[in-house]
Amino acid sequence: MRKKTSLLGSALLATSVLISGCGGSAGSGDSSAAPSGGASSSASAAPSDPGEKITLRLTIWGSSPMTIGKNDAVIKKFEELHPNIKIESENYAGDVYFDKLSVMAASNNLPDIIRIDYGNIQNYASKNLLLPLDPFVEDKTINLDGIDPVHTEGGRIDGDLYGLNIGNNAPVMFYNPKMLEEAGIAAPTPDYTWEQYEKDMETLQGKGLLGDTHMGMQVFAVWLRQQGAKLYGEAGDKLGYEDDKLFSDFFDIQLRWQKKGIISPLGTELEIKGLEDGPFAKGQAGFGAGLGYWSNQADVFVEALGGPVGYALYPGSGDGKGMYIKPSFFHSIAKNSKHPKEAAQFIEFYTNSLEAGRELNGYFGIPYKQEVIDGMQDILTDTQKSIIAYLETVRQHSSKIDNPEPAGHSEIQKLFKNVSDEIFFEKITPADGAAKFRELANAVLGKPK
Amino acid sequence: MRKYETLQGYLYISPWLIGFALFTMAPMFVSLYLAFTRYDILSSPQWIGFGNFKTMFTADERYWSAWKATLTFVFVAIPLRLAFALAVAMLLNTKLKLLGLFRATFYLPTLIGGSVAVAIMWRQLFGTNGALNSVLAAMFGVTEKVSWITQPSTAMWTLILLAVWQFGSAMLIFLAGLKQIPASLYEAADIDGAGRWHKFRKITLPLLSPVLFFNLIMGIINGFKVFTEGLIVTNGGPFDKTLFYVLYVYEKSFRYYEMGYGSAMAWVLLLTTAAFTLIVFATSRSWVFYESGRR
Amino acid sequence: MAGGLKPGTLRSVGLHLFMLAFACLMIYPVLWMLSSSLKEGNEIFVNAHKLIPSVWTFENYAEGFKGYSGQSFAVFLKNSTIVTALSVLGTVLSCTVVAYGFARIGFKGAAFFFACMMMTMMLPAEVLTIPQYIFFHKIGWVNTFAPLIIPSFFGTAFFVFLIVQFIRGLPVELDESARVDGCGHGGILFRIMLPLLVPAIITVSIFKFYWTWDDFFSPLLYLTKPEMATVALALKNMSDNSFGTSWGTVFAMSIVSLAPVFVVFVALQKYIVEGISTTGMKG
Repeated sequence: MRKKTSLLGSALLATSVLISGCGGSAGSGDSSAAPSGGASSSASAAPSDPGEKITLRLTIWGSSPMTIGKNDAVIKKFEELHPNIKIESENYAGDVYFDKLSVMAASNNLPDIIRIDYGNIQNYASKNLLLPLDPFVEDKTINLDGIDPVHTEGGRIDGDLYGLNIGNNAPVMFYNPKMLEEAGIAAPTPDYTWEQYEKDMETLQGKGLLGDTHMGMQVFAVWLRQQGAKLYGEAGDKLGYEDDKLFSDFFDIQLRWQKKGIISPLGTELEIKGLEDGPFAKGQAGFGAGLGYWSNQADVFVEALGGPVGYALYPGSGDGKGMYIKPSFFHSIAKNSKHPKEAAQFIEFYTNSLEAGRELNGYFGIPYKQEVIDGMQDILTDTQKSIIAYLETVRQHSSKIDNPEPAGHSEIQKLFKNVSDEIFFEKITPADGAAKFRELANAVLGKPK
Repeated sequence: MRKYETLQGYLYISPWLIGFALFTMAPMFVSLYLAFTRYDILSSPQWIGFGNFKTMFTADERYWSAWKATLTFVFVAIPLRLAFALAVAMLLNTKLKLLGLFRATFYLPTLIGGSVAVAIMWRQLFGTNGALNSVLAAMFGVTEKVSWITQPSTAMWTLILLAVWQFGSAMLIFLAGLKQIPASLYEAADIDGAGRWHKFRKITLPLLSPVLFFNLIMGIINGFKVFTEGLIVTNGGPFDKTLFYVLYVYEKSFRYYEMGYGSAMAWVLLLTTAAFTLIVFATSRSWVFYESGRR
Repeated sequence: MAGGLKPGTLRSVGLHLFMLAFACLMIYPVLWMLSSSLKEGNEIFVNAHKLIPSVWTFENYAEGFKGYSGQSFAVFLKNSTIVTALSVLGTVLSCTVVAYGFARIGFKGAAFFFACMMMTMMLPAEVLTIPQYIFFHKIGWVNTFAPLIIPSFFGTAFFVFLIVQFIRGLPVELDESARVDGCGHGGILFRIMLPLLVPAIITVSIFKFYWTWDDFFSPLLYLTKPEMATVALALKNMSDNSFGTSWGTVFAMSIVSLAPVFVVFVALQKYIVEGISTTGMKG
């Protein structure tokens, strides 16, 4: 009866869909990269003739009006210079961005230009979903002349360049200058030590304030670097430190701070729902390091505190081993894009053109092409100038960034948080926590790719 | 005649049948297939047989945390929510003034749904600086400020409370069911001098039993699938105390790119839910009373 | 008087007070959200315990209505209305018919398919998303409202089950007397049962309305252009944390989103109440 045929039909449909829909290797020639029906029809990737209209898709995360506004402004400028190219930008909330991207990847429907971060580019590149950009660098569509490779090497995986860094950020310990001054604390210098940090937090406590929060995995990664180790091993298949004492020390000092009451209670921290919601943002703590803030988030705090903030390296960074400059995010091109050259043109424009730089004004990260920075001097806000100055300080006291995080990084972050909370709720000791974390993390990392 | 009935039967359920074949059955088969694979979404699935199931049952601590959290929720929140729903529905089924307004008020929480706003609101009640602590301080002089939503021993209870707070939908269904009970039955019972409890046991409960059955089954099924509250209020924490099963499925499937494992987990959930549901269905013969007398 | 509450002013007053207090407790969180939407920026968190804003401002609403990506919030409201209204229509039509089939027609295989239907509810939707997305993508429905609306016309297990239970609460004698009058199944369903199922159908409508209205996951998956976004998706996007959130705006638009659902509920709920009772039938 009908149900029999529909059963069979559906099973066939399912299997065929599954086989052709999954996997990112050379497309099965199906649905276009421009679903809006923009007139592009050339099947080859050869440079299209300038008279033909091309539509490119771009995905971005972040949906605040400002994010979208700035992004759209750059697009508009690009379209003015390239009247035959139209860019359609799709924006998704940050925490579901990669859900959406996954689904698109599974159905062979990735956008021409993918915005992707350091934590995910490795995964997508290794699954053959991204197009190497080197050919475009060679023919100068993407012009990296005169740019220090340290800015762009973050996008190089196994020898090929898979994404162009939009701009730079660095981990930062914010501090409240007014609060510190009133408490008689000297502003941190690059030689700031952990001992001094603890002392200063105690001083703040004496004034009825908080020092900072507990420290998350981002700080832990820097801590490991300061002691000559790394979070992940070279091949990304196990942890990058052998001595569990590195882990338990990190937690021992925090337990000490917790007991003294100089950092915020864990319960309060777990309730935090946004950047403007932590103790530092609410003007209750003098320092903001533990939660792992980035230099380009300064605006949020300047607004929250109603005044300028201070920027400092993490404590213990004097010898330059710990800190690093990080690519804010990359723009990559999907392997199956039908118009890679135009996509490359857009990527280049976004990152290295003065027009784009002026529109963005460092919102996503500080540009690294000298001409762009020079051309922006007149519109830089005080905050931008401070960030640029801070990044320069970081550059002088930093070492090469760790390799991109391996595929299991997300899960390991969760495991770290779980063990971390268990320790702070005093359910297990730091030593036991160290062993537990090692066991769980290596189980995740050891899985075959 | 029988054959005609059969044809008619299929005709009437054909919308569902077609929809099932088109939209649901194929994906369900696919997900069953995926349960036996390693599938990271970005590349093709690789067959690994029972590997996922083996890992789940023997090598995954978080898996059992997920069961613990979910079963606690199902056995505590669902009965509580149903009890409240029934009680309030019965109260609303009387000649209260402003009935419509009350009904709307009790239903309002359900309408808010699982938005992020709910998470913030709940924190404003049960967080360190929330209303509950203010009230405890003001009325009982309790000075210690507990973070109810993040403390390991109480986090789950705030989520249970959130679920119970949203009893409106079950209440509405009970109300509709109560309205179907003929008033004449109660009047006849009054004439016979029956007391309130007697009327409840002999009239209300039996005639309400189909609806009660529905709410119980749906409560169980949805209870096992609880997800949003866990995600937005506590994010499964602290350290997996509120890691609901489906939340873990979501994490594994989308966040950690292990959709094969997630699918395997989902099918175990389906079988478990089906088992519980079957038990309730089996017992229903003895306590569910249908006017139409059938099944 | 159904429910068996004895008259008595003291008891009545007591009951009313209790209900009032209970209602206030239930509604406090919503009041909090309303109050926050009228507060300025950082007052929301700093003065969270105060229900009355120190400075009243409608700025959050104005800001929220601007929407994003050049689409005002009104566009999102329009989209949500279209998707929701059509979904409710499809659900009511299909589920009533299907439920009748399961509940009143004894046909071979009914139990099997009923069980299948129940099973579809037990699998978490998350694991079906990828296969379903691929399917919808293949037939070109991605980027349209189709995946959000059309499946509603094919019945939903939850609602079918609900209506089945209600139908089972109606005495078979109804069917029989209708048959005596010459009605086939169609006649029984549409002429006799439908009026009696009004409370159930209204309930289904209310549920489907706010489920669809509040659903952000399906729009997230299947819609890409801002001008097609629904209210729930817009709210999700606006409360995204990547670059800092304007919570006042989020709360304001949450209240705006809540309003239609609430209005629909208030308007329809009395039909549940005044659903024709079966007084007068044998029972």
